[in-house]
Amino acid sequence: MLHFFSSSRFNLLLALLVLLLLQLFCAYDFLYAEQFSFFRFSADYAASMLLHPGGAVEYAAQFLCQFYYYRWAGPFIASLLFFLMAEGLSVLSHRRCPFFCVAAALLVAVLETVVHYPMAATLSILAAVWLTVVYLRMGSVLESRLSAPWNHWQHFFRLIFYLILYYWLAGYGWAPAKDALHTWTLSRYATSFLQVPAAAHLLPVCYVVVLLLALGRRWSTSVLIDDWLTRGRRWRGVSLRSVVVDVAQILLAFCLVAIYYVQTHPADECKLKRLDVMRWHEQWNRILLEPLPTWERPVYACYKNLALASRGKLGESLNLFPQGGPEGLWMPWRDTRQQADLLADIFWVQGNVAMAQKMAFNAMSFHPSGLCPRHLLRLAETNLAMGNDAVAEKYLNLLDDTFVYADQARCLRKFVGHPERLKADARLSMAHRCLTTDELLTNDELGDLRPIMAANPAARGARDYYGAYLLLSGQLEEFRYFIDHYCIFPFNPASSDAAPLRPAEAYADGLPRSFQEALVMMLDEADDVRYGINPEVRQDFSAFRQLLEDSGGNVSAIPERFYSTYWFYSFTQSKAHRQ
Amino acid sequence: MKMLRRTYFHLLIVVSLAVSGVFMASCEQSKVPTATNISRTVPRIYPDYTHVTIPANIAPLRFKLCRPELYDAAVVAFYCRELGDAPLMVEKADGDGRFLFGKDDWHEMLSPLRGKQLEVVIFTRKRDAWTQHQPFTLDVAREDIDSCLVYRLLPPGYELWFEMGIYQRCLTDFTETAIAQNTLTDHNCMNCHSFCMQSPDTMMLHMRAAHGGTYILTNGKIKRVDGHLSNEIPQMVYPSWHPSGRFIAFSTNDTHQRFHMRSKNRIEVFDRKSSVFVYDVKNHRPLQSPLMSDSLCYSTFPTFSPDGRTLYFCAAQRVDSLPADYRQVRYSLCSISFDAVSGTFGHQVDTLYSTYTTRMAGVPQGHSVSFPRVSPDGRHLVFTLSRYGNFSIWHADADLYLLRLSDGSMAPLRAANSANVESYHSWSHNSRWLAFSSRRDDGLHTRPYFTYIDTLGHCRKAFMLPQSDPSFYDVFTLSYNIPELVRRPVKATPHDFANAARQAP
Repeated sequence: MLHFFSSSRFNLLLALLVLLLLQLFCAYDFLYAEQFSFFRFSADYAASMLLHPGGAVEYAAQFLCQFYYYRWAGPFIASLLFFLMAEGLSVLSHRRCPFFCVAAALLVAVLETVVHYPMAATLSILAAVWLTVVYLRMGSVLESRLSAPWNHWQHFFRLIFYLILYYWLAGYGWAPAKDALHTWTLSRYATSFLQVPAAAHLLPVCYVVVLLLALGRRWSTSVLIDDWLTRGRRWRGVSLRSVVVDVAQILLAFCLVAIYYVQTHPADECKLKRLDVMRWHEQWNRILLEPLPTWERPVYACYKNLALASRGKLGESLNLFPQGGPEGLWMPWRDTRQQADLLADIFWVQGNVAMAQKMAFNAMSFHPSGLCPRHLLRLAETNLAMGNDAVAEKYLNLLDDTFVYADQARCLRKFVGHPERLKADARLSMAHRCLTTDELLTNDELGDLRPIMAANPAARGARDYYGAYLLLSGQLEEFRYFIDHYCIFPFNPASSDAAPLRPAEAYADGLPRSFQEALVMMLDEADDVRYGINPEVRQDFSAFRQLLEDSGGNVSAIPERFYSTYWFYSFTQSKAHRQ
Repeated sequence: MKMLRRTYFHLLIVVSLAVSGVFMASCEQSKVPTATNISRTVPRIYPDYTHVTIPANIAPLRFKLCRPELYDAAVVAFYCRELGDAPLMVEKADGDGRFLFGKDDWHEMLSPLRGKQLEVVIFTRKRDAWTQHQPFTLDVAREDIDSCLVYRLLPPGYELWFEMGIYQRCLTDFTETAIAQNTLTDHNCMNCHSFCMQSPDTMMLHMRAAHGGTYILTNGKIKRVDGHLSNEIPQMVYPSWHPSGRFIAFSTNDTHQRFHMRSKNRIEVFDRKSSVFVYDVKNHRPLQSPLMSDSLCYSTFPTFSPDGRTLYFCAAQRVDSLPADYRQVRYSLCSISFDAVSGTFGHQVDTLYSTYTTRMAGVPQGHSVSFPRVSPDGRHLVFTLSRYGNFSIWHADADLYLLRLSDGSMAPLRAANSANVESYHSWSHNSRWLAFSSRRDDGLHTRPYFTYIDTLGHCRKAFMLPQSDPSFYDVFTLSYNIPELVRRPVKATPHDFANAARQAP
């Protein structure tokens, strides 16, 4: 049985199980981790990486991580690494210790990759394991016959060769040796003469373990354990005792790893990762369908509102889900990567190109390599919209060399040096038109939207966000002013006659439903036609008001169909405020 | 066993043959092709090294053809007509149109050419016909440039960073080494490195946030100093060493930053408060003058004259309505005398360029001065002039101007300036070279450039810091910040600074 449990087939079986588990529970982790790598198919890039000790594993890690972009690839790569790690450890441990093999392989190959993203560290350990295997297979110093003096030298040189080979290929893990002092006293990561920073806390331990495994094959204790395991009842020649022990060890390993994963990976973080991935892949419907406590955590509302705004529905369906207040539109900027990442998209949808650029830049600065493909794309877009083609080209040059983003870069490159093409493109021309005519400094998130709305009558994102902010913060007077001055023509309708007002280009089909719902609360019925209020909205409002009066302000008496109206939000907010 | 040895032996032979083949191929001498066509144009090359003046000790000016796809092959030949018509060096372009001159060949060619002119001819082949293009010149100056350039590498602007460091680049080759790296100091901010008279042995830099303070390197030792000297001087900012090494002039600034919604300038940085003082390194105390710490004025960017008797700085009238009226802040160039023996200042401030009154041909009126720097020979002062404000690195209109201290005349460094930003600059110890940062390359990333300035203050066309791969800048997304020329490499390492960071100030 011991032979069965340490065989390649068994490791393969475990790897398939790991693949299944990862695909079920951690698929988004890989999709999320993709943004932290930046691999370029370029000879210069390869040379710059491979000519440094340890660069090979870093290069390989970046190469593999780029495929995390595809949903199936991350779990597959991690499972493959797990298999190779388990296989190598099995060989090293002389077909022993399934618990250790499984636990170590899972920890190193899977979780470190999923949770901490330093795949180079994983590959470094994998290289250590397999180089040791190869070395031992070819005969070690310990096993050599010491009779001929030449043998000493032969083995000595072989050992030196393997050490140098290992150092060059996977010296990543040796970085702490030089910088250990600073690593432990100053910062978690340290830079050395090696190519990349190292995950210092993990690697030295793993090297020691690998070394012990290599030497442990001669431990007499393992023989004793062997004896004990092979005694007792047998079934078809297999010791049942060993089956029970090994299964228990594997279960224990999986349990320990699961506990570790859950502890280092809170549910909230998982949700945010999922949302982040959906946002990046523009899966707006999935974000809207995701059950989230939006009224409790503004960041969830931010995602949902962004999904609505990206589909041009924020003004239309503002109360599609329970809103918690204006904080759910854009959270205050507190120097975190996730905020910067999300805000870059929110500002882009608003048409606030300068702030989108700033946030994309800020978000990218959190990335270990200082480069992130998704932000490079955003920066290319913002620079093209602003007419800074030379800068955009620089970002596109980088993206051209990637596997996943080259096509998108090619699509954007056609705008470089061709402003007429940019003006013909719906997405970029919208951003370009949102640029203000004056050299204004950014003021605050809300204040910035006013010049954008003034510059671009078609800027729906800016209007939706501005109106939504006023509505969610209960500033109805300002909202009326906003409608009169930014959403309908002629501006300032008080001075005009009673003719129907013409909506701004952004609302060519009429004011959004949520805005109409707020307006009917302030307008006389006679003004409905002028503002293009849908009669159905007026009727619903009358019904809602009647229901409230009849129930004496009892919220539970209001039918569910009113939950997605602004009146319901306004009433519940004011009631909560009063309480 | 025998079989194994035979295999090893065969493998060794194959590897040896392969290596020698590659070696022979690389040693093949390029020849000047016989051209059948003559072109009156110079093919566009990057970086633009056409008609520039270079020091003899500069690293190979490797460049590439901007459109290599137009040609099947290319060769460049260097001639010095004074020495004859034989080419001094001939180099073939690689498949990407890059001319990767060897370091030894390059220096061997340039060393005897001080004060002479090189003619560079590019030959291109299309199908089987070679074309000889219009030559361009490289003037080799008599004077060498300082051997090192020290700069900070960081993402261009905005608010955040992850990795940042201060690096030195050997200008005679392509070696870059780190002096300080924030990966060893909790990813803090490090800035404003400054040297005493281009000496690598006396320098300082600031660290902000974690391990905050000013780090002063003297006699091989790094001392960490608390920058908070008093309520009036909460932190030391822009530095300039006194030539004696005993004092450092600093400004203290209450700096703010805002973003443009639409502007080439992208970012606006302004001070709400600033003043200038001199820090006594030996006694750890500030020396102040009321003339430079007037609350109605902003004073910043101090710089000592090479004799240490004059302190130059920029001063502007305070504007209360910031940031709304950020364009109203305009700095004049001023000076005040300083006595290093008594540590006292003069009683009068002289204005060399007044944003209000200066009227001079070729010099814009009502502009704003920043970064004054006096040449070590004391003859010239170069400063940056932009329409307003002091953070000229974000002002596309910022240009370099030269003031002749002997007669007070000023002129733009036309040959060095461009349509985009020229800002921070530093002199070589022999006063003939000026390193400066410019955004002319793409409008965002600052790159170091060098220009030759003769004894009369005339400058030559500037050239960009050469790299081992001429395509380097195409994909390099960090900015070179504060390029400072230094005579020799700085010996201190990132670990020395990290060790100093652990000391209490």
